[in-house]
Amino acid sequence: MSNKYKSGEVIVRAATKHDMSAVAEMIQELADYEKMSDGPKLSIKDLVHDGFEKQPPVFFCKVAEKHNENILGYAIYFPVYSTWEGRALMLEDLYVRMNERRRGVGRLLFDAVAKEASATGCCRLDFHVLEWNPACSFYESKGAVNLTNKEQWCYYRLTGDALRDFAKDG
Amino acid sequence: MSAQSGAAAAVTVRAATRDDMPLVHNMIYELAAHEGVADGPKLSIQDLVSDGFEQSPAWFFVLIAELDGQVAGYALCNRAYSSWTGRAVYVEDLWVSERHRRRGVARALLRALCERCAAEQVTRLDWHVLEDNAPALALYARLGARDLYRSERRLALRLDEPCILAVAAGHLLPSTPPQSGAHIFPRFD
Repeated sequence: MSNKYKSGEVIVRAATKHDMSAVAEMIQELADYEKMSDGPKLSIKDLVHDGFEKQPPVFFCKVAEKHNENILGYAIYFPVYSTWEGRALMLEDLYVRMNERRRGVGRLLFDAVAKEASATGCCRLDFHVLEWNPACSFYESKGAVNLTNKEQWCYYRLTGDALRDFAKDG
Repeated sequence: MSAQSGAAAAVTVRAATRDDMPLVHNMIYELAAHEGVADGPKLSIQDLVSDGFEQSPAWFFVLIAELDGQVAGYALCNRAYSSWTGRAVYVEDLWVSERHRRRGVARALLRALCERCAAEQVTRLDWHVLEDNAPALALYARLGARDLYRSERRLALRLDEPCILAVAAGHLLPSTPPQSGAHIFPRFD
């Protein structure tokens, strides 16, 4: 009964400023999903400016795209730094549209960010997830370690061998 | 204001230069030893110089606190981003050397950081702290920081925009004694 996309049907690529309208829509969808609909305050223009006009960019974005048309999901991430181990990445948002769930899109996006972390010599990939989000079991299955657990926010870290293995085999 | 305000005035905070990295490197080890992981840090002085001052863009920025003509502490931060509210800052390390404690150094570092955030329209300041770090928790509660999450005995705290502006203007909430061993984090609103 798997409805997974076949290899090559969906690609993950770097976002362009033209994707920010779709990304802004999905940012709101993610906030709605997290039951915090009033959270997002940024306009499409803010995203374009911060991600594509400001030098250096304040964030990086990848989108999952089907058939050169529909954007199915996105990931926003940026560089961070560990004073113990150096360069790292923070995955700020990972979202797949509601009607595209359970088709392997989230995994493609996460893979792509983990690969970038590994390729750029990052020591870890950090991200947060709400405790009740079913995605927790996906992250744990990839070797992510649950660092924090309070007020129903979970802080996850993918590091070392788990990161390299996931970037290689994902 | 408390009796410490006079001592706090003697602390100066400035942006670090590459020449500060040997001292920052020392302090990174002091912090790790304090957390019980003396061999945690793996970076060399040259790593810090390269990542902070030779890469474009830089991977981090550092504020240095000086007291009585000596380097007393540092805050190492990176620029972050919230897809909801835009530019943010994450504080990776905040450290005051043991011999300079209780002189208002941490407070001065955080105030300078909040001033910088306010000037750059940064609306969120995040960091982590070990759950058993009582003096730090007491200070963070007075900033109006919001306790977001905890695991493995670490707390993630967030300073929202109203609190950033208030701290940048030099305001602190009154001290409150911990109740039942835990700090309650009040809010400016």
